[in-house]
Amino acid sequence: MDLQFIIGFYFSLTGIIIIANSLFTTASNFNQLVNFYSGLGITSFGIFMLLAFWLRNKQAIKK
Amino acid sequence: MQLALHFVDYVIIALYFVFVIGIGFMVRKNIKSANDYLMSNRSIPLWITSLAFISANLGAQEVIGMVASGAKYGLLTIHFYIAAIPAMLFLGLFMMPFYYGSKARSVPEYLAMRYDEKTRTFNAFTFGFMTIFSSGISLFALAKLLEVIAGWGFGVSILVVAAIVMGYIFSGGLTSAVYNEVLQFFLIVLGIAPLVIIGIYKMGGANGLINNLHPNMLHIWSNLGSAESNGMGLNWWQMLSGLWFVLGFGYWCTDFLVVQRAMIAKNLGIAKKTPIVAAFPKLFMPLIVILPGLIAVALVKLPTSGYAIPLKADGALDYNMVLPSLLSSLYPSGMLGLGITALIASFMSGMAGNVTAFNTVFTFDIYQAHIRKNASDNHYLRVGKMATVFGILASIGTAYLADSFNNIMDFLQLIFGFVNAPLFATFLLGMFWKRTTGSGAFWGLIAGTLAAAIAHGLSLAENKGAWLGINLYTFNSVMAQAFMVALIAWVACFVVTIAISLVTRPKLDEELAGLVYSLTPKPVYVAQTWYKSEKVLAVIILILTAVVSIILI
Repeated sequence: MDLQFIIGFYFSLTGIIIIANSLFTTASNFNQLVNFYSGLGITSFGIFMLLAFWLRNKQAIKK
Repeated sequence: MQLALHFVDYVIIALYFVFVIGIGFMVRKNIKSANDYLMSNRSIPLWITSLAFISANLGAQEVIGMVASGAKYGLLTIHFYIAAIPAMLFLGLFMMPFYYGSKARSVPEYLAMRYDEKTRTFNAFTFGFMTIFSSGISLFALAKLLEVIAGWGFGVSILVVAAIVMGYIFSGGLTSAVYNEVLQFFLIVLGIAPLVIIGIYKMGGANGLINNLHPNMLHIWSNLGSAESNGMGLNWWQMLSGLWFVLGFGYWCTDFLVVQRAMIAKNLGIAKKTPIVAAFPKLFMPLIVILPGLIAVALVKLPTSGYAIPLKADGALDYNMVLPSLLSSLYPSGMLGLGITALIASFMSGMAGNVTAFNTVFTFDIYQAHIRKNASDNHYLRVGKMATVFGILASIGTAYLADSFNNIMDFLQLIFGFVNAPLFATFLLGMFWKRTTGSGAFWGLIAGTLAAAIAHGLSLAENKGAWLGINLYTFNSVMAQAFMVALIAWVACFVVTIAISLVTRPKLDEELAGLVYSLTPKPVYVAQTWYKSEKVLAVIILILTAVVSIILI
């Protein structure tokens, strides 16, 4: 059970929920932009952590 | 001031609860001994220990309190962050070799090895008492906040949050708490950073923000010439001696709640680097926790913002509600859920950190030391788990006590200051002067604590104190009084410890090897790449701290 994976998975999921909320609600343009770009940033961080976890595992297998 | 939470906000909050409980259950299968449960089997890597180290101090009272202080006092609040850095570096470079190298499982256990059982027991009981009450106050503050902003019942909030924390600590122990602290760190950064960006955008950029703030709010040293020249009521001497020295070193070098996160590192090298690496995000945390306060003050002046700092019942500005009101004002649903989750996470993490520190100290320093010395490891594992349950139940009781007695929080903060302030003198003398004796340390701690109480009882600040019936000195602020009382406590402990040590018998040199600087073999220097050297990292962070100080002078 790897913390890097959990953190990556959690923030990816949360970011996707926030992006989806921005696309499917009738909030004002500004609020939609806030949700969209914040969600994008959060999802990006989550994907970064997942990638880092994958790369670390790949290196460990090579060794 | 109720926030309009929608379905998506509740989904985000619920998702967090599922993950924290899930972490506890997934860690559970690795818990096979008391060492696993209470000390994570000293197996944690550097990135986790360093983030948990800083996150253990990022309870919601800190997050909400620092935003409030930023709104009230401006950038002067940054001293609470930069003052920690020398202490964190000192801990990593000079004290961790003894904490970790001695194989002590707790700070009180180090005191037993270095001094004697009575010093350990005094520290164990005072620390245990403080952690339970801190945990209870975190729970109380969270329940009150949720009552105000979300309309959740006080009792329901307490029971739900306590049950979740119990769930992941009971099953996963310290590892679960530490993993959740790391998750919480990223939640706070990602949950509040967009708020800062939106706030600066609404002010028309950094210049717009600066132009709407009083110049006194933008300096950190030039307004410390006298206590009258800043809102904190402090001068440079009080700031440096009280906060930077006594309280800063006293907390970061001796409080087991944070030191424990370094003591569970995989090896000594990581244990030494933990507080040093943690100092880097520490230096930049003011961007997340102090800047929102400044943004709130500037937004009030912007006619188009529609933002106002909430008021208390008596009409005074309620600075503690600045962060929740900013979340409400600037975040749409979705991000609002994440912001609230970050707040809830920081409260829960504060509670969990205190409970895990308590169950370790109770199991090893109270139960094993005094009640049952040679039981099986499985027995101590069960005791650790029961201590967790007791800690949570006692926290619930304390939360209700805090609800019934309004002044209890102020009273407890005061007691914490009395007890914490002298501790660094005890450790400093213990680690660097082999002549210090157990009797010197014990009576020094008692003297320091009493000196703090007496100094507070004989001085006044904002109509608080002078409870001994005489006022010998009036401070400009409660903060100035707290800092000077801490200094008096430290000096009293230092002097009494030395005086009594000189007339009592010290331990033999052989007994102190590995516990005192002069009797511990120095490690042979091994050439390292610069970013792996704790000394190079320490110099870099000191330079960065100096640069920040000069820029914000």
